[in-house]
Amino acid sequence: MTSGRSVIVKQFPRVLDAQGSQAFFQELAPHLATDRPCLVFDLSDVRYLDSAGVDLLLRSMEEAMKRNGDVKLAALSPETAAILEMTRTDRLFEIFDSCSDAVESFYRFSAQSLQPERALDVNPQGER
Amino acid sequence: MYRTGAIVVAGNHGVLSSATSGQGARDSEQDCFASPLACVEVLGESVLERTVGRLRASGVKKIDVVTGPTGDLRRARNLRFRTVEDPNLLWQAAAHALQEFARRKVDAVLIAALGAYAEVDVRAAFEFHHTKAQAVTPLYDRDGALAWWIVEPARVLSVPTFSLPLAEQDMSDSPVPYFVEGYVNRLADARDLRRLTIDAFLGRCCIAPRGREIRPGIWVGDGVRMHKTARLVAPAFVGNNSRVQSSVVVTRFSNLERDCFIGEGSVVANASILPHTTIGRGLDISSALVKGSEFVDLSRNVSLLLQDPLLISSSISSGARGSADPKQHQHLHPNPQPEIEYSYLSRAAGRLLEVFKGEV
Repeated sequence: MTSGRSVIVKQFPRVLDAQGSQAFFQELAPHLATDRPCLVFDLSDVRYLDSAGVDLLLRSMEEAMKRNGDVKLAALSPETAAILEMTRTDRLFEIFDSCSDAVESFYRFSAQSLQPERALDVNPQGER
Repeated sequence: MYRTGAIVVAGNHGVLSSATSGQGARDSEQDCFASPLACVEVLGESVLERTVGRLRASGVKKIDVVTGPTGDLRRARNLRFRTVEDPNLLWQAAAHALQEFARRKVDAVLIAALGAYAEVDVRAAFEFHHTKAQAVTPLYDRDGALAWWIVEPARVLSVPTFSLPLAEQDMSDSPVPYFVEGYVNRLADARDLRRLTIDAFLGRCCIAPRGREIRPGIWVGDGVRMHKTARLVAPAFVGNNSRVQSSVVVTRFSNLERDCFIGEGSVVANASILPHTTIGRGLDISSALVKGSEFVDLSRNVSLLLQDPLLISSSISSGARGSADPKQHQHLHPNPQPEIEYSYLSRAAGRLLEVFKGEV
């Protein structure tokens, strides 16, 4: 089941330094400006990531959250994973092994949210 | 009188090459040679310095050190350094040193390739070699050959095919090896260096931290400046002239070597921060080895080369790095980044929290 929301997968460049991040954020901006943006960042190619790259991820998430959307990360290279752990940003994002898992996670979440009676049934025994 | 000498060759791979080279690793070959693991300080003193000290304590007076251009190596007095620019020429320089020992009529020379940190009973090894009356005595531990040999210079140099390093097949008369019973760490990679640090903290080897033990299991060198809110959890070591800012936590067998700077709020857990390293603010350095801008993630076995003052960076200027003259070092911290960049990342994370809470 799909919710009809489109998920955009963005492949990140190999180098995410100050210059590269600035340019890439311009590219991301239109996607982040939509209503409830759902973005998956494919980081499999990233080999260089510094604080500017981390800031790009955080800014993207901030913009998406403001519009009730979300940003998820997928296919992290070991170098990227090490930097995200070092900067403690790994705990702010949902991280998936592959892009398809990340995309599916958006739809799974939507499907569950369509069944509120099950999700809100906090007292299934009927105890008072 | 039995005259002994030693040639210590320190030229194995460095910190970065020991793990899978990752981002920005293009310069690693050069950097690696500039800082072989044996020249990296462990609890205040390098393996090379400790090995030389051990040789001296055993009565070996004439010691030659053959190494690459290791700028941050402190020069011991009365020690002859042969510095070579090209790593391929290390053993050639060692062979020249051996010829000189032969001219000086030295009876037996210990050739030690560092490589391995080995707690060898040097007197016993020389005695063994003397008793066996063989040209070459290879040193072994339980895992095999150590790339340490005791040789008689006059005898080995008379063999036309002799070359260093000695290979098993070059020793024609299959010599009796000397077995090292003490602690041995082969320092094959960054993990081994980390293991050496932990073993030293646990007293598994004879490496003693160079500093004052201010609390049980916590050693601090001279000139250390530590904020009152910084926390050191034993066992831990902070080397000379290091600076530790507020709310820093150093824990789980971590060591900060000399001239390090740890920015406020950072956590160093199960990690070695090697000399002249600047760690930014609010970072989490765990299961890692950091040397200047080189970062080795030991859990992922990946190495990175960064030069980002907000993350990690070297406090030595690039011109001075790898130089043979320690006077060329310029200490660029204590203020590694301008105030405007202060808590740049944590501010962004803070904004995110506000978004989560729906305050924006």
